[in-house]
Amino acid sequence: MDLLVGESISKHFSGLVALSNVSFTIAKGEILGLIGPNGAGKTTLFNIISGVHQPTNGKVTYRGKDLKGLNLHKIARLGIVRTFQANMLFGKMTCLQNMMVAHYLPSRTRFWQTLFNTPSERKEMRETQQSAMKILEHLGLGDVKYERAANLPHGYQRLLGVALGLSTKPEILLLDEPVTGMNPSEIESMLRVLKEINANGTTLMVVEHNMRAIMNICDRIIVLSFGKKIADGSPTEIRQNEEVLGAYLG
Amino acid sequence: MELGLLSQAMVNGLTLAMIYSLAAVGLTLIYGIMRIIQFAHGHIYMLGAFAVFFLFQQAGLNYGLALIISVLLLAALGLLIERVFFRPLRGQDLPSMACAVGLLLLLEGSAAAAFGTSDRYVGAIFPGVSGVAGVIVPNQRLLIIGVSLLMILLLYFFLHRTRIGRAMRATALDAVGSVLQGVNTNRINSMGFAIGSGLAALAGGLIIPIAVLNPAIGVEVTIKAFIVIILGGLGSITGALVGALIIGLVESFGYTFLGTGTALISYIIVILVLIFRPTGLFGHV
Amino acid sequence: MFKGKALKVSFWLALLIFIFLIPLWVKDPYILHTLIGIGIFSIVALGVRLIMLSGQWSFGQAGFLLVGAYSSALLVTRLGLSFWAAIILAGLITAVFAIAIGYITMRVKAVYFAIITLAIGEAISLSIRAMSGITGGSYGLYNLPAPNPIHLPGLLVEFTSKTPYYYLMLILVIVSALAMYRVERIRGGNLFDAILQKDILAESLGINTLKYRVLAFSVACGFTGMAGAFAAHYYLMTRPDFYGLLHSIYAVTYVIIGGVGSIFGPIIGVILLLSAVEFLRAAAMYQAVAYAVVFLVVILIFPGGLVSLGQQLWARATALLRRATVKRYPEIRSRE
Repeated sequence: MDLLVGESISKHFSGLVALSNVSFTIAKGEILGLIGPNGAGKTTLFNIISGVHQPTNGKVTYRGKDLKGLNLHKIARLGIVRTFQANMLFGKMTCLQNMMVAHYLPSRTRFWQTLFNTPSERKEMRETQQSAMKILEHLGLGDVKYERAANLPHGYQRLLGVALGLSTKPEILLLDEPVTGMNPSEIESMLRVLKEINANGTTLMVVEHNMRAIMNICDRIIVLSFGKKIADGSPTEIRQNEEVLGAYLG
Repeated sequence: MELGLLSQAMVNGLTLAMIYSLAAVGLTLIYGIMRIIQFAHGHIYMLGAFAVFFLFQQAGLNYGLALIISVLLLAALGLLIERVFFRPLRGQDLPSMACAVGLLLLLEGSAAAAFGTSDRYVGAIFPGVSGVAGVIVPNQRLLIIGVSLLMILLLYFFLHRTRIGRAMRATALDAVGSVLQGVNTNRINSMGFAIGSGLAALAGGLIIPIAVLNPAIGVEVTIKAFIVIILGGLGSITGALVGALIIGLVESFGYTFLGTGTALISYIIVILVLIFRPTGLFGHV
Repeated sequence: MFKGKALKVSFWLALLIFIFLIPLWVKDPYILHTLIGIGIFSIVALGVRLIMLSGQWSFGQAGFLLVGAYSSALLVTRLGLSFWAAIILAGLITAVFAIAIGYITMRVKAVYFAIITLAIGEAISLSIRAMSGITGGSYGLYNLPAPNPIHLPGLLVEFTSKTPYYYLMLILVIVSALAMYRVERIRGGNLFDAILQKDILAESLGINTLKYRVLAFSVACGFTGMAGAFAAHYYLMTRPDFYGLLHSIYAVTYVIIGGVGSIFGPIIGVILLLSAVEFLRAAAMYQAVAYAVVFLVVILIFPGGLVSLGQQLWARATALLRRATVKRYPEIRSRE
C-alpha cells in the first residue's frame, strides 16, 4: 500500500529551481533511499514532505490526505517525522531529557493534566522515562544517558537524533544523512538499528551520500539530479543505471 | 483654502519624512552591518539635539558649525559605544539587545541628570518663507529638507562609489563572505556605527528649531525609526527612505486632517507589516 | 546532601514568615508603600521572565498593566461589580486579549515580535487616550473605590490602611509566581527549555511551539493585568501615562539583572532598582544612571544575572566550608 505519494513536485526559490516535476511513492514498510549529487534537491524534498516548505507546484498526499498548508508540527502529528543533518539536538540537555521531550507526541495526557501535574501525568512521566531509557539502551546510548547532548561524540549524536525521531512513534521516519561522518563500526551499528526499526513496522526514507550504506539497507532508491528525478528502482537497477553514473561522475 | 492646507501637510510631511529618513537610514545601517537592534538610537538623536542646543544657543556658535561638531561628537560616541559595549557581545543576539536596552537607560538617565528634564526651545533660525514651485514653504523646513537630501546623496555616493562603502554593503549582505574576502570587519563595524550615530545626531540637530527638546524625546524617535525600517525592510537603505516618506506623509496628513488618533496609525501599520510581510517592502528574506 | 537541603528549606521558610510579619513591626506607611510597589512590579517582571523562557521578549507589559487597570476600574465604576470580581475578570480580559494578540503576532521571528510588543504597548496607551468617552482620555479615571471589605471569621478587613493592601499584594505575588512556575515546569521543565533552545527541533517532534508561546504570554499578561487592577484600586486612580514604555523596559531589565534562570531573579532585580531609588534619594538625578550602570556591568560580566552570581558564590562558600570541615574531621568524608 502506498503510504506517501508525491505528485509532480516542483519548488522554486526566487529564481532558483530546486525541484522540477518530481514524483515518487513510498510503500508501507519499505526503506526508500534518496540519493543524488550535492545540490540535487534531496534536502529540499525532505523539507517539502515534512512541512518546512510548501511546494511551488504539485502535492504530497499521505494515506490519501493532501498535506498542503500543513506545517512541521502538524505533519509530525500525522506520523511523518524527520531527523536533521547536523547539530539538531537540545545540546544543553542530557540525552535522557532530550528523549523526554521527544516523547511528547505519543503521550496520552491532556493539556490541563500537564499543567496541574496530576497523578496520571506523573505516572505517565515515569513511564516515559522508562521508555526513553529503554530506547537509549537499545541504541547503545545507555551509558551516556546523563551526558549533555552537545558533549557526545559525533556518532552518538547521530544515534541520538534517530532515537528522538523514534520516540515519536512515527509511521514514516525521514532520515537526513544518518551515517555521514561516522566510522565503519558506527555505520554498522546505525544500519543495524535502522533495519530493526523497519522490521518493527516503521517505514523509512533515507537521504545519504554513503553508497554502500544505501545499497545495503534500501529496498528501493530514487535518484535526483539538478532537481529532477532521473532513476527509480531497486539497488541493483540503480547500480547499473547509466544516467545515474553519469550524474555522479559527469 | 483646501489647497493651502494640502500643501502645508505636504511640506510638513516631507520635513518629517526627511528627519525620519536620516534616523532610519542610520538605524538600518547599524542593523544591516552588525545585526544589532540599537534601542538607544533615538537617544543619540536626542544627544545630537542637545549638543547643537548648547553649541548654538548657549555658546553662540554658527548653526552650521554647531551641526557639524555635534555630528562628529556623536559619531565618536558611536565608535566608543560599538567598541566597548557591542563588540564583546558580537554574534549574541539577545545579550546585544539587552545591552542596547541598558544603553538606552544609561543615556536617558545621564541626559536627565546633566541637562534636567525641563523643555527647551530654540525657535526658527531661518524665519520667513520662500516660494518653491508655487508652494509657500517655511525656510526652516526648506533647510531641513535640503540638508537631509544632501546628506542622503552623500551617503549614496559613499556606499556605492567608495571602496569602504562597498565593503560595508558587502558585509551587510554577506558577513562571512566579506571576511573571507579580506574585509576588515572591525573597521567596517566601527565606521557603520559611527555613521549611523552621526546621521541620528544630524536629525536631532536639524529638528530643534521646530520641535521641543528634552531628554525624553529619544524614545519616540527610536520607535518611529524602527517602524520605518520594518516597513522598508531591515537592512535596506532604499527601504528606509521609502518607509520614511510613507510614514512622514501619513502622519502629517493624519495630523492635519484627522487630529487625534493619528499616532495610532503608524503603530497599526507596523503591526500589520510584521504580520503579513515581515521582511518589509525592500527587505531580504 | 541532607544537611544542605534542610538548611535551604528552612532559610526560605524563615524568609517567607519574615515577609509576612513585616507589617506587624513596620508601622511607617512609606516603607509599606514602597514594598507594595515592589510587589506590583515583581508580578510584571515574573511575567516577563515567563515570556523569556519561551524564547520571546516583550517590551510592552506596561500596556497590559493598563488593560487590567482600566478593565477593573470600569467594571467597578460602570457595572457596579465588587473589586474581587473585577480583579479576576480584569485578569481574564487581559489574558484573552493577550491570546488574541499572541496567536496573530507570535508567528514571526522573535526579534520582530519584540518590536511588535513595543508598538503594542504604545498602541494600548494611545487607544486608551483616544477612547476618552469611556476611559476619561488623557485625564484618566479618578476616585476609584478601594477593595470591598472582607468578612473573615471574627475579623473585618477594611482597605483603609496600607496593611491589608500589603497582604493582598503578597498573596497576588505568591499566586502569580506559583502559577507561572507550574507553566514553566510543564513536562518537568523540558518543554519550554526545548522551545527556547531549538524551536525547530521541538516543532519537528510534534510540539506546537506557537501554542506554548501563547500560553506563556497569556498567563504572564493575565497576572500582569491583575497587578494593574490591584494598582488601580490601591492608588485609587489610573491614567494612560501611569505605566509607560520606560516601565516596560525596566521590567525586562529586572529579569536580566536578576537572572532568567531562577524565579527569584526578577524579584531581586526589582528590589535592586527600588533600593537604588531609596539609597540615592538625595541624588535623585543619579538613580537612573546608577541602575543603568549596574545593569550594563551585570550583562557584560555576569550574563547569568545576580541570582546565578549569588548561587556561584554560595556554592563556592559551601565548598570551602565543607573542605575545611573535612580537614578537621576526616571521618565525615566517608558519609558523603
